[in-house]
Amino acid sequence: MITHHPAKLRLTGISKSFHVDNQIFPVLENIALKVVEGQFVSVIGPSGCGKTTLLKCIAGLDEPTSGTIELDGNVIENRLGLIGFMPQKDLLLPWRTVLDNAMLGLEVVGRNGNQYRQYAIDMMEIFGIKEFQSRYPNSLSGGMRQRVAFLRTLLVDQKLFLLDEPFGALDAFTRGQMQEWLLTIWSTFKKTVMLITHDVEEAILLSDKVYVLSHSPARVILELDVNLDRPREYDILTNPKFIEFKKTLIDALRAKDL
Amino acid sequence: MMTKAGDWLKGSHIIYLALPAVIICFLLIIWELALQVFHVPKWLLPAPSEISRELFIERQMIAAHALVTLYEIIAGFAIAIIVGVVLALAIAYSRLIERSIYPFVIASQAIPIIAIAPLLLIWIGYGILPKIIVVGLVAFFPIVVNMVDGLKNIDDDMVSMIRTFGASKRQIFWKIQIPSSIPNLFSGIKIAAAVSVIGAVIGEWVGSSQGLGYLMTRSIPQFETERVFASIFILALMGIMLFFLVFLAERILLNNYYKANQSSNN
Repeated sequence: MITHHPAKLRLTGISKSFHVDNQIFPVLENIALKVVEGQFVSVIGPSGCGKTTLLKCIAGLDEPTSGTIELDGNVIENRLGLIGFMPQKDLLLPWRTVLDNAMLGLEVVGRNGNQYRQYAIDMMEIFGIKEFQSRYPNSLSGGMRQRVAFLRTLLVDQKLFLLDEPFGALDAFTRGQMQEWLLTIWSTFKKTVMLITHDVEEAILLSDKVYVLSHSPARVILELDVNLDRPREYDILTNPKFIEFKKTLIDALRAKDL
Repeated sequence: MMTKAGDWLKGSHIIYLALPAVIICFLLIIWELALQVFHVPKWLLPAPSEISRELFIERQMIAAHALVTLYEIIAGFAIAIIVGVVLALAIAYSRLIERSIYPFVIASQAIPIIAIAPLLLIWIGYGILPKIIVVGLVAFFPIVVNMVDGLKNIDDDMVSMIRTFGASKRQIFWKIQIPSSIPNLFSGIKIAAAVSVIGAVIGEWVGSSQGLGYLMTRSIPQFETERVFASIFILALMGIMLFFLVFLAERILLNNYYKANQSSNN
């Protein structure tokens, strides 16, 4: 039934290779995937398999060697500005307050009037960071900084959000909290999201669909629909269906090692 | 970690202010006593007490010369900051400008200032202007070099991040490059503050009729060594004060970098 929805993002035959000293290093090989409007899709794969390269190509920061990237059915040459990109590092600007950091994206697109500022403050309330608005990033914890970075991306209402291991740098406890928090935020705003991770549980917990990539060059070796009911709570981790999904994904990730 | 702005005024830091004062007093006492013990003549090395007496007795004359030198330093320093920042921005913004003017910026330092100063005298004359130019010439260079480094040495990930919002080159320049270069700018200005004083003295040595540099060149042939030392003392004081002012401005402007654990105002 998913096929009836229009594809927000469709990758067809994406390949990417780097040339170093007259040698060609293939990173991505013939990747095809699809993200439907309002869907949360995860891409998992081993570290260093080219996941970040894939995201950079989608965001327009890099270009694939071959293949097409369609947004809402159209191939768009300059995608910069159309797709929200949330890197692993929060990249908050140390000279700006939390509020001004959150406003950065809106400023760039020329929406920095008072009504947008108020909107940002209202959103900070929902994000649980309103009390920090006039602080500077260096006084915030990793989890709080990551929330500010999320808000900065989310405030500019782009077509699609790419998350590049946003919780990778956080400790296990904070990561769990942030995953739960992201579930709530996502169910509130129903954005189209593509998450890159190497954490199997994180992928299942958050996603409607998971793609598994192989070792480099990265190929799609499994596409798994995660038909678990929403809203999901963190205790879903012990649900038998969840464990079955986890086994399928781990098996797929193991197989590619051979 | 860097020190916080507020700490500076706290009591625990008084020791950092007191320490140099104690060291200076100690050295002055040794100086004073050593001269008396070894009977060193005044024209060879005057004692701190004699230098202070000279400073007091000739205070009006020394102050008049000091004001001239101070004026040259401040004017040249201010021009150096303006020219330095403008050049740095232009060099970092455009590759064409970088290629065409950066070699001249470097060449301006390769030629010894001691060679340029007399030429300025021939072209412009004995007034204050050639001294201001010498100060500007020695002081603008560290500002340009440091700020260009800051403008170019930016976090690529930050640039990628802002580009995904569709930022233009100009927006990247104003929102990322310039703010992240400010600490480097201050490093450059601090060096400039120190060399400004040297520039003013060199400018006056080459040919002048007023200023502390002039006072020194006039006092040396007459073996008025205590007057030379009095001039050096005032020059050092000016250098330290200028450096301190830059340091204060840095602390106030870069508060954001140091501000931590400060509770929300709203």
